[in-house]
Amino acid sequence: MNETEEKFGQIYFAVLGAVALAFGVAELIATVPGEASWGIMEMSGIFLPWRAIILLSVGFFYLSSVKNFAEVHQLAKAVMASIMIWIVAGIAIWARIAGSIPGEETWFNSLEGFLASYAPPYCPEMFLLPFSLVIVYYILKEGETVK
Amino acid sequence: MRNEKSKVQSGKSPLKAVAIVALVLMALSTAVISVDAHMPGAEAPPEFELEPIVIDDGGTEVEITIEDVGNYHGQMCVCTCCAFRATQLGLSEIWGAEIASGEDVDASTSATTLFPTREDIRIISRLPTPGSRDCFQYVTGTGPGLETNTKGEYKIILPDGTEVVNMSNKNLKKVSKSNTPDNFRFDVCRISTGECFEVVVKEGVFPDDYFELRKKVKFGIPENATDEEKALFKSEWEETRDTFLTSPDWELFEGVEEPKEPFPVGGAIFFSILVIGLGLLLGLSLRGKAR
Amino acid sequence: MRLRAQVKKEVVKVPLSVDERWDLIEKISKQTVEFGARKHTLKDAIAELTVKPLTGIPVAIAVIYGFWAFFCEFAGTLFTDGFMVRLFDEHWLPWLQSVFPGGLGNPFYALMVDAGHLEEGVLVASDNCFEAFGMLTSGLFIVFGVVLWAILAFYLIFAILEDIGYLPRLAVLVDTVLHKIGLHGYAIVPTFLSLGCNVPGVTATRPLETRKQRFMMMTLLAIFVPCGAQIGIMQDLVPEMMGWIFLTLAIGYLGFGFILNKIVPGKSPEIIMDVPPYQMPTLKNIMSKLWIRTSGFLLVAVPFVLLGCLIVGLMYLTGAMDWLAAVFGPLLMVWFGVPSETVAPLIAGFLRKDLAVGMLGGLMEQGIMTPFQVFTSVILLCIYFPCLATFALMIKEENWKELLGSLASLIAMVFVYGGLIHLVGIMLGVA
Repeated sequence: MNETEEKFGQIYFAVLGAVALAFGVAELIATVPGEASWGIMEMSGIFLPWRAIILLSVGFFYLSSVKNFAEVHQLAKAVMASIMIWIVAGIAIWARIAGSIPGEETWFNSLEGFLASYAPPYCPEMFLLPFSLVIVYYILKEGETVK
Repeated sequence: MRNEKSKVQSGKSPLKAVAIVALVLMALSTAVISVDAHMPGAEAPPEFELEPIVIDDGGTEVEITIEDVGNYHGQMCVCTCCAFRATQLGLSEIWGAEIASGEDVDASTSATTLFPTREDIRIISRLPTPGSRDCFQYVTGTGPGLETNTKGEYKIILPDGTEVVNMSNKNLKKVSKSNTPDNFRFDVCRISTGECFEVVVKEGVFPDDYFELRKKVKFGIPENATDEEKALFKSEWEETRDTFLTSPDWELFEGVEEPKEPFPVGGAIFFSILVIGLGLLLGLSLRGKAR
Repeated sequence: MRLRAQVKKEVVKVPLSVDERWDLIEKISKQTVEFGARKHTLKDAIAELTVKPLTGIPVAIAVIYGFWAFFCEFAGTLFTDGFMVRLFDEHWLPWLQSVFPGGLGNPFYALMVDAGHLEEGVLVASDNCFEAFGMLTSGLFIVFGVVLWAILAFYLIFAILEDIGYLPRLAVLVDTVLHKIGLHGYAIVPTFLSLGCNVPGVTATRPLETRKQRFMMMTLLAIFVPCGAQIGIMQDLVPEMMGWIFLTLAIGYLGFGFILNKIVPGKSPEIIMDVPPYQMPTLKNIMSKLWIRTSGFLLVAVPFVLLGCLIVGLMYLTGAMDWLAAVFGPLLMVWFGVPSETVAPLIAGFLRKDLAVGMLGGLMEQGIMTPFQVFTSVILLCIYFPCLATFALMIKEENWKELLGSLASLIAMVFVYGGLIHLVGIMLGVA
């Protein structure tokens, strides 16, 4: 990892960490009324408190990885944070896939019903998912360095 | 002068007394016979959400809920519920567009109202039952004991074309003996423009044996109902009432299209991204393995 | 040569104490292993993160959340609610009701298809497979409609976690907590396995060194760890209560473990556990594990569930169930606060817990129980007796003294814990 990459990674994951932390706080607050929505983002479900804890940890992991980002133990924190987002967002996507296949009255869903299962609103973790994928670049870079 | 006045007064009071007695008698008869039209021991209806009918009564906005109509009739029976839903549909079909766009609904009055005016409403019903009568009279302001600023029109014309002028409970009960699903048709009209919308209850809303059972249970035709038949009719009656309270218009009435859900664009976009993402992931992992 | 001689000399002094053994290991490793500086890879760094409590606990929460949420969506939303309930309630049950000889009221028909239930004194047919309670309806529905998918989902994730290498790290993470109750972190492996099925869970206690540890582990597993089949049915019936159920069981597991550790004589020595590096699981491995475990489960479950349906049906038909309900009803009502009808599920629970919870479902559908009574009954079913298959294995694995001990602690536990839940319910005003 060269200096530019390290610098970019530091700034990028600092911002991502701050956003994740903010979402985590929002989810934690949303556990009081049980649900909250903001545009096409929605926070709800019985696991909301747990997801809030996970998201807060993700935020802390990213932020604490920023200092000396190129060092492998620091990078590992960012990787772990990304994996945690992948788990939660992956489950959210999986829930939609599982719910989209069977129909309400028929065995299988209609095309409209199927696609409607994927319509917004989405949970905060799903918004973080694409941005967390940047870590893959750094994982591959790290792999090359070891070789 | 004084004498004259007292004379006039004394001349008025017997009239008033007669009117009161007549009203009381009418109310009593309604009460007695309408008990007959009701379903004793019927279970309470389930939870439902029905918007009120909103009309303009000579400049005053009046909200009519199904509970108002039920109280006026004495019970939320199958016929009141059906008549209420039919009125709601008919009014929205004729006035709906204007209500939605906020235009002046009634050009004949100067009031800038957004709702159908009561005096512009005409309802022609094929259904000779006290429940539907009370509902339509309540809406048009033509029933006894109603204090309204204006009045619309309400008539009962049977499917064979005969008009039922005597709308007393006794007569309606007599006429309604041979009711069939064909009686559940109502014309809701706008007097000022002559527009009419015919509300027709869909086949299948009433269970197949509903009218036969009704004849047996209520009128003993062709023979008195057994206890089992009575119990069956009671449950069918409740079920039908609940259908009218809870089902959407397109399930109840002919000519109403099932509202189509808009094409889920957001869902389609997300699904495409998902498929592309998964494809990329698969491709990358296969390439990684090949290396 | 010198080393071998030394080891020989040391080993002659058998039996070595735990400390002596560690000393020996250190001596040997000092002379045989060369220690040098090694650069940590990303994998090593991640591995470190997952075992340090500060970072490891949030990761564990994420992993367990993922585990549970996947389980619910796969088994509940997709298979059971999506297809199986429709298949069994709308097609299989009505079809059997129309073609099976006998009809409602016939004893054979009741055992096989539908026992029916009384509504205002009239025997009416069931409209779902939880109520019908025939071997061919409820029996097959419980196994193939609900439990199979729960087990499949559970073992899939379990195999993935195992093959990635996360489970041993979870063991290291919980080691401190489990030491408080006299168990080693390794105990997490049999506990997790038991969440699938108690039978392999009990088998997995074998690496535990002392009899005390094995006895404690088996007793705790049998009492406080519900199996995947049971979890699947509970999730289907009372999804809103799952959090409370698991919390109650976890409190019982730790609390009772603490007490057992104090009263059971014996030692809880350290054990050495291999913590392999993280690696990518292979599809072939996962599939073969999934196949072996699921087929093993079906072989145990299908006959027992069907047999359970038959026995419970026979007990109803002969009036034995009414007699038991009359005898044990007052005890259940007064001590545990659950209705006498709960006797039937408790009897069925001797054979299969999933079947028993399924029977509770039937009682719930008929509106016999309040939500708190359902909660208490579900907990009672979890803790009161291991299912027959687990019990058979315990007979094999424990000597008769230990078995009696297990049973005694089990009975004490049911009364104490069940009564306690009832008491808490009364204090909260919900019982």
